[in-house]
Amino acid sequence: MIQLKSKALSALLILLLFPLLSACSTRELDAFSLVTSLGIDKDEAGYMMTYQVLNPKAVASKKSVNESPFVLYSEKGKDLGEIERRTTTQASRMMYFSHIRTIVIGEDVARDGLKEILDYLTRSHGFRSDYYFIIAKGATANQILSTVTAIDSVSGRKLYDSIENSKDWWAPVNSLKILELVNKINAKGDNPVLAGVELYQKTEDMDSIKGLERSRSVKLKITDLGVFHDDKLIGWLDEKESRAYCNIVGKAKRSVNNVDYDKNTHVTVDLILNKSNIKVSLSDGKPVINVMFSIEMDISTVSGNVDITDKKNQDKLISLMNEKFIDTSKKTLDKAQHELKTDIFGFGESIHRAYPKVWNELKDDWDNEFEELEVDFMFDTKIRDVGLILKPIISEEE
Amino acid sequence: MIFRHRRLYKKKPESTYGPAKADDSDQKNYISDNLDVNIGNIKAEIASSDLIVNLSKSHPDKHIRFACIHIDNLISNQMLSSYSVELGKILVSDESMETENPKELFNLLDNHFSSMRRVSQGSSLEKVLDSLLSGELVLLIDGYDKFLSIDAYSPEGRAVEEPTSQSIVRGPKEGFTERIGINIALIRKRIRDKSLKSENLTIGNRTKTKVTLMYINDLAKQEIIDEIRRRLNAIRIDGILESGYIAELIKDNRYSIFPAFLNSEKPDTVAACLLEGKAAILVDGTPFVLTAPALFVEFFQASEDYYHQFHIATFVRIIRCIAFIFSIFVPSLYIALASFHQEMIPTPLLISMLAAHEGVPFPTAVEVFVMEAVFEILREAGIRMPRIIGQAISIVGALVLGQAAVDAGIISAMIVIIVSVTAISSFAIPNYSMGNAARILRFIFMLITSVFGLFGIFMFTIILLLELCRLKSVGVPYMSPFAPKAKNALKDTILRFPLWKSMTRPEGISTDTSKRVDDKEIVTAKQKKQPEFR
Repeated sequence: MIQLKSKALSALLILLLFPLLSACSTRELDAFSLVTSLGIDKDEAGYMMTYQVLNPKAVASKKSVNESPFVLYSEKGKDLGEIERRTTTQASRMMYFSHIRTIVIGEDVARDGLKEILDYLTRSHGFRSDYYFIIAKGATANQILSTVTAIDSVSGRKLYDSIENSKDWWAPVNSLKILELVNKINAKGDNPVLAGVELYQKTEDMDSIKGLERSRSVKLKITDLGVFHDDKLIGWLDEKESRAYCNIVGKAKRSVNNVDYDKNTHVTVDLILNKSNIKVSLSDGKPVINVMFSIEMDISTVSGNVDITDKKNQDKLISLMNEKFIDTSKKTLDKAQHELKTDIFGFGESIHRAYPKVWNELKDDWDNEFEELEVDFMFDTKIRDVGLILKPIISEEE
Repeated sequence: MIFRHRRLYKKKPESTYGPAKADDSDQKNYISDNLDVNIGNIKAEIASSDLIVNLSKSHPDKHIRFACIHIDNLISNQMLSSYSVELGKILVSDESMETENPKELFNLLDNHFSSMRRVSQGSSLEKVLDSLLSGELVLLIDGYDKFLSIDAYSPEGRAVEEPTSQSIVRGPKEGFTERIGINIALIRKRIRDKSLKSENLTIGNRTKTKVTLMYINDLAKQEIIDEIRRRLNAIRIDGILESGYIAELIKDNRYSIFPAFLNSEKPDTVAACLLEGKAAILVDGTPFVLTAPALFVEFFQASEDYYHQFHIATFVRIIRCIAFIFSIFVPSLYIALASFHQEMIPTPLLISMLAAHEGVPFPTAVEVFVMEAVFEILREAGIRMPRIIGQAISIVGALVLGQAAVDAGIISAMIVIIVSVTAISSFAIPNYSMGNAARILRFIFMLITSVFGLFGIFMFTIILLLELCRLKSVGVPYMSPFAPKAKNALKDTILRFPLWKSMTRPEGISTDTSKRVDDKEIVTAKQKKQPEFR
């Protein structure tokens, strides 16, 4: 009986201890600051980090609060871990990184190399792996993040949504998340390409919600793709080249393209299905890349008097479209091979997968081998739909 | 000490539970042939004002005296007057006028009443007392040492009404009453089977409550019935006032929070259980009938499931399971996500949660605990309070506690949503006892989660599942047909297969596991050609 009582008593005491335990591992909702974006710039001391911290009161509260939707904390230091802790002197709450949407990297930092940053980001357990990397083009990361954007006023989230939305509908946009980025840097036959962001409309009050009172308040846009060799930024692809890059690597989902059909007519097509298939074959022991494009398109605009329902005209359109694809692809390939000298298409990895033995001979000198690589383009193009009308609505009398 | 004894089924000395029973050999305990002595003895035993003794003579001229004794209010006035009419008829009959022998008169009365009512005779004083207390009329005749007791038990009671705790849309609306006789009749009128057996038991040294064990002889497994009977017979208690007493005393795992027996107010539910080969335990004085053995899934099934189409029944059962899971896990999951694992919350949701929590003084766990406790108080108050105050309570509950607390910034709006979801979910569990188990589990989960987070939830869930798999109801695994798996019985668990596919009796409970529906003729007719009438 005594034994039973003491057992019950000790169980009760253990239960009473439970609430005391809770303080050690909980993180209450009002004890941390939600970081939406990180900006990394170069500084004399090493790095300057910008933490874009969300102000939930201003973003989600029903009452209208006259406060900025986010707050920036900037701090300088030798490495990122140090800066993170030093920020506590500025911020009242602990920084919470799990919901970071983008990491904006200053162009200088990117040119110097991302190794240290990536080590910090992958090593720290506070980060998830679903944010995008963006390179600030012609501006510092701090400037980019300080911008209050319209509709989604937190620029870190806006950039993420822009990329997510745009990469499904507009071929030239793409970026990488951390795992892909690290894999591409580590792979010998592949190099990363990250989206750039541009501040194209600088105004006095772009870091204030006052700027939102105007209708023309969009100030950030996703632009060219930054090309890397290993972890260092070495150049940019413009819009056409970016489009060609995305087409070749098969990352473009849907997009729009146009061709000059004849002197007075141009046709715009909606690319519904835009796949590519990279195949490797050997000729004389040397690898040859075959890029097979499978394209399905809808007609979206016909500017002249062309009967697009005619099979002959359709065939002509298809061949024009193929030529355009070949043209831009070749130019972009040429730029990568001879100007930038970096295999951003992952051709090396394709060879690695198809002919490991050949790759073993090539891999140590791949950058030079890549310059000589022969690439062929093949097409399987179809017109799926001509739209709701068959002929141009205003047909000219012949 | 009745709640203490560890091994209920081992017989203990009778004296532990109440006064010693009468020793039959004692001469004093037999009624004598002297009426006055007998009445004196009875009055000495039942010294109560509601003991009514009527003395009269068989005939004004003859001197056979007799007494008619009963306890007031156990017998209705209507019953009493019809009895007097009957008695009068006998006394004026020629046979009775002529006789002078008390024994002859006794036999005459016995014969006459036997044809109409349940009549018994005896000679022990103890039996006289028993008869009186269970609402029988006792006739004692001077000069003869036997008594005649006539069943006239007719206390006031509720009529058959619609059950209040288990309401339905479609199906029979009759509910059990507090009178066991009516309850047995309600079951019997549904199953007109010769092998539907009922066994009467009396439990409770002082209450002497009538308990009836019902089962269908050729469907029920004999071992299970024997076990139930053994456990019922082994109960030593001073009183049984509700079937809950029995459920608690004969449960297999006594400390488990899960109900081991299904209780029902509805005769159709009990009839369905009997048809599956289970046993029903009816207790006098309560409309709640126990059925045993009970399985975990049964608590999520309603009789109505079988009255509607199988599609909707399956859908509703899935909803109920979700509700059960919600009612246990929602508050603890919220605590886990909001104070441990914010990385698991989608960003936009987290932002609204942050905005809602801005300026709230308490940690999330405290908020949830307080609001859940307040809800439980409201619920308890709602059950126990006088009906008229109901409206006031609901206004206070909804407006003051819900809206005002949020507006004042004492609790965040999310908590109100969480508590409401939990509350509504807990009412979607068809069985009240299982709902109660979910209530307790919810608080245990909340406590564990506020310390260990999601890890705690998962660990305790595993413990809970192990516990569920360990439980038994009258020796039948509680989690069957899931564990151990019984393929056929799975057709009527969370899913309800159509009757023509699923109707077999659960293995392990019934001896007869053949198909309950024979749809051969319907099917062949269909295959030939469906008639079309236009």
